[in-house]
Amino acid sequence: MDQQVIKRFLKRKVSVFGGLIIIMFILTAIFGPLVAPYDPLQQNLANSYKGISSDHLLGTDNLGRDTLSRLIYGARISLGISLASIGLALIIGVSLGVTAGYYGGRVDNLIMRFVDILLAFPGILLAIAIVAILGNGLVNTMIAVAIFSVPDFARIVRSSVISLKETEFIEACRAAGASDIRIITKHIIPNSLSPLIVQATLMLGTAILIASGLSFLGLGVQPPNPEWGAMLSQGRELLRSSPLVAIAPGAAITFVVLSFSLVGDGLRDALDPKLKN
Amino acid sequence: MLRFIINRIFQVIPVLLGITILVFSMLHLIPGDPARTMVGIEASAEQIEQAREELGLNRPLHEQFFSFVGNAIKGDLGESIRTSLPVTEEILNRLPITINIAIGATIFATFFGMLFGIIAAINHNKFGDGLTMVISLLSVSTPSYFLGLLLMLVFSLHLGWLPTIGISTPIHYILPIVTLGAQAMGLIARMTRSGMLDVLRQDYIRTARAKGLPERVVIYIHAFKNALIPVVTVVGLRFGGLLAGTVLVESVFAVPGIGRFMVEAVLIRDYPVVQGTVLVVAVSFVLINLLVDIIYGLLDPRVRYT
Amino acid sequence: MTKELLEIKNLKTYFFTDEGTVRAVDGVDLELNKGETLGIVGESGSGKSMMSLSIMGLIPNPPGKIVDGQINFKDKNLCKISKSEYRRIRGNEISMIFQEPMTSLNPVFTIGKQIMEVYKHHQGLSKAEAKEKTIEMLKLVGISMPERRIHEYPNQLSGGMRQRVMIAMALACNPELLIADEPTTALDVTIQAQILKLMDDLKHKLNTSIILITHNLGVVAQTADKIIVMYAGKVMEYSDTKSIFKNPKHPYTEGLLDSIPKIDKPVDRLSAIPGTVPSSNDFPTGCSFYPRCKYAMEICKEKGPDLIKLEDDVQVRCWKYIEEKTFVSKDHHSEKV
Repeated sequence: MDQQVIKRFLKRKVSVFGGLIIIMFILTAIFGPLVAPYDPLQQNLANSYKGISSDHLLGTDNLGRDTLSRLIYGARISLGISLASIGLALIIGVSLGVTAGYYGGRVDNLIMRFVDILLAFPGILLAIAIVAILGNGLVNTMIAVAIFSVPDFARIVRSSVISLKETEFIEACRAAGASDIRIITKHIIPNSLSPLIVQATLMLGTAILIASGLSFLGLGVQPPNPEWGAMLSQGRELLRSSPLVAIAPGAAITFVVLSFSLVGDGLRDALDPKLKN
Repeated sequence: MLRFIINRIFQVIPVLLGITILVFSMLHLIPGDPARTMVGIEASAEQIEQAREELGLNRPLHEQFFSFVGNAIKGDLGESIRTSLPVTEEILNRLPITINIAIGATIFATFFGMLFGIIAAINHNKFGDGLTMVISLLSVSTPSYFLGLLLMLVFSLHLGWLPTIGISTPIHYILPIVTLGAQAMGLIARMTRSGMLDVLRQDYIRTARAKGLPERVVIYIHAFKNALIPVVTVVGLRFGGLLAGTVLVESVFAVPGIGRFMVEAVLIRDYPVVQGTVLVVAVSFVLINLLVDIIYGLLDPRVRYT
Repeated sequence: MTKELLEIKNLKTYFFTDEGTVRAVDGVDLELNKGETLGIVGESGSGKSMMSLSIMGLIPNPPGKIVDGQINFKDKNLCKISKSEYRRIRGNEISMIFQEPMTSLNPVFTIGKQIMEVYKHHQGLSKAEAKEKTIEMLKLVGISMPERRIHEYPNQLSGGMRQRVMIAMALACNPELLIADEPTTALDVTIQAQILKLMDDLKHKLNTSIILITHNLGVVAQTADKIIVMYAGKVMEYSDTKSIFKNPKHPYTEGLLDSIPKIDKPVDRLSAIPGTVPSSNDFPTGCSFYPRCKYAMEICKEKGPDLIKLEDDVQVRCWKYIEEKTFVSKDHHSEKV
């Protein structure tokens, strides 16, 4: 069955392409320090505002920092935030969703109303409100993005729990005397994995968008950290003199987001061929 | 129909209440003492006490909440710490710019999104289809704060056609509107395309052709109205999202709208302004969605009668 | 005088798909006189619906295409006329009603608008005139309180009502030819009879010719003057209604007749024809009905028979009859083949 999923996924060329781009970025993030030509924080005022050259493939900024090196180190921060916040969101969202779906009734009502209210804050607004409470910085950005992503996971898990709960095999487990915890961890969660994987992949892209957006506004990761959004914010000021400082991280965000959504779409088609069309 | 509308309105009330509670609790969720956070570390004990008094933090919690809600309903959102002006007034001064941009972006996104979607559907699996879908995919993935900078780079700095920042003349609106609308345009194009493709396969389209109607009537009236229904929902939901999206776009183009106002307030910890702006945007979002639902009901008789 | 209203010659409508060429209609000839009703009978996949869409010029292209033949309607060959000319004929001189009245009406427009549209585009009537005519038409098809009904949406009507609306829409401009593709299949039995009677009444009132397409011979028994039995894109038998019921010639027709439940004879189950219509791109060589035919002979497997004339109004495509004839004329001795 798993082989079939992989086979179906490989059939979609654009998704495979997206997957390769993501792998490339992840490798960059891991081995960044080995490949980056310069220290991303190293200032060299004599070398500022440089264009593309063999020394600086993507030029330098106003402080003479190498843009390519900053971009490479930025991959670490941006992908790191994205993975960590989606991981956190998965834990919270799945717990909420399972609790709501499995126990139903008042618990369900309470949790889902709460989720509804979170969803009533459109787009980046929720993340901004959370940062307003917690303050800026790397960890708070992660938390803000995580909470922003919780509602989607909670909803998906809840609906698949509800549809699973009444199936015969869960009834059978219950009749066999399995505990709730056991049923949930051994049966319900594994069975709602497909939609979760798809959603998590799609949300990884969104997480980068939101986190970089916060940093761009000055509410997320702070300079001189080479987070992509923070770089863009800095690049906005240098648009006239060294546009590459903005273009490089912007293009990186676009490619990563695009790739995650291509992979997510591919996974959806591969995991659930019925959903297609 | 009336019952449908009333029903929807009643469903919205708890959400509005929840938003208010959440916005109210923002102040109380701040780690440590909000009054101290606000006035700064070097502030004297008196200053902190004064800030606490101004924020009403000395009163019992439930009293604070009810006065917050009561005042909010009356349109009183407190005073800005920085300017000492009423938050409501400050918001109202900036709101028109934000609404103009959001409406402009909605019109831009709807018009071009539907146009591209229809072109793609009519040219299904041909070049026009592929091109429009690539454009829409890119526009969905490009963050607005990057797209805005790119457009500024090309149209303002290189070509010199459009102004860079600010919002003093109508021409200044063009780039913010395009930047904000691009993502929604991509989504609308995709939805219109798949909706049209689906509808064009339906029996009633065959009937319309069998009646001898001209092809443009078949496509732009019979098919389009059916394909429009899901698109309207997206447009509506997007409009609410666009209001939030202005936060980023206003920062790119240094536009003095409500989004920029909110971000500045967060940066300087002007909590009454933060609460006020967040409340206004979230409530508008919910009310717009309510309106969209009702329009959806008006458009599609099937929703009304089931 | 019986001048033909419609004459189809050697019509071939093929679909070019990835899996190969599907010969949906494969060399059909037919004639229809003014005021006549022609029944086209066959199972799904026999090409009868593609026949009707070919006449309407509504074959989805790609992948479908009329590759050969003529459709002469009055004095025009419909295969040769321009798109706009065709559009003026559709819904005006030739109309069509479909099997699913639910999905064939546009759900987001009132039925009034959907009928008025026809008047607007074909007769250029004003809104008020079109409305008046629409109400008249709805009355004619037996819809009560038409003034009020025109403001209703298709989902507010019952299946039978919807089909009446479809008929009103089709007959709005008093067409000379009405094509009804399985008009009663999706309806309850009692409603079926009503709709068939309505169509027959209107035919006499408006002097319309009808092509009635169905899989059920029972449906055409009372109303059709002549019947064509189609199988795998070809005409298998052509006959007047009386003869076909009294004395079916083709083995396929026999099978179809046997599958009609009869009130006077107790049957345990319908003796349906075994097998299904072969998907048209893998038609066997030889007679396409051969794999399911109970009279199958050696020759049937090798070569497809031609349509031959048995009597004045009776034609059949089967070796059974060709054998007899050739054999009567050529060889008097070997009685048993």
